[in-house]
Amino acid sequence: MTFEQQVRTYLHNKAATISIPPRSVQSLLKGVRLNDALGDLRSLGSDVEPPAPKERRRWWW
Amino acid sequence: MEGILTYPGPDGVASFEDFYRDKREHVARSLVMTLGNRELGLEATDEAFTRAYQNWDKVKTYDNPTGWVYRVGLNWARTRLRRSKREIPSIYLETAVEHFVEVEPGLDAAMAKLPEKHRAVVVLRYYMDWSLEEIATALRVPKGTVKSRLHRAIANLQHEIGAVT
Repeated sequence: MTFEQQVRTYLHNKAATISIPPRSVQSLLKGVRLNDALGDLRSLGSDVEPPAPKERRRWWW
Repeated sequence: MEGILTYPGPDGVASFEDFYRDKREHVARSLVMTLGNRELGLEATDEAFTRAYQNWDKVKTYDNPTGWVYRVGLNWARTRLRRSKREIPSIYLETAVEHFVEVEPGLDAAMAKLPEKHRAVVVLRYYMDWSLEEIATALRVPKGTVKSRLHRAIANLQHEIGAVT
């Protein structure tokens, strides 16, 4: 076996050890739609003041 | 593995869903092996296919949509790595060498030491079985650059194996 053939065999063996979790196209596109929706919300709310942060609890009281 | 330049093939334009189903695992494994990290490679794959979906009308007309997705994923991961100062765990050296029969036992460690650009051409040439032209198109570099990177990568692997065995 030539060295290049060994590299090829090694890479195919290595690839077989890498588990790829299944992900449907629907699941991928759901992420796209969520991102688009978040982008829309951000653009709608660009002139809206962010909510005031909650007063920090003072545990030492 | 089919040549990438034949995609989507003479039968007509493939849907994004077909493309995703056909190519996701190969692209994901290529990116994981190039980047040397599973989580980063998987994230890069999702990111790249998302962009392919968003630009599918254009991407489907390319000679090499799989190469486009690979390059987009690789560039996304590079940007991510530049921003993060953290060292990422490597997939290399994790697997016991006895799993790889008939190959040099030091290859895993030698791959870990290759620069990422060299690992990319090795993975695309010997795992994806792409020609030098296809790799050049995918990485947007001249064919001569691919040839010299591949030559140096193989020489480095051989050198490392000589050093570690």
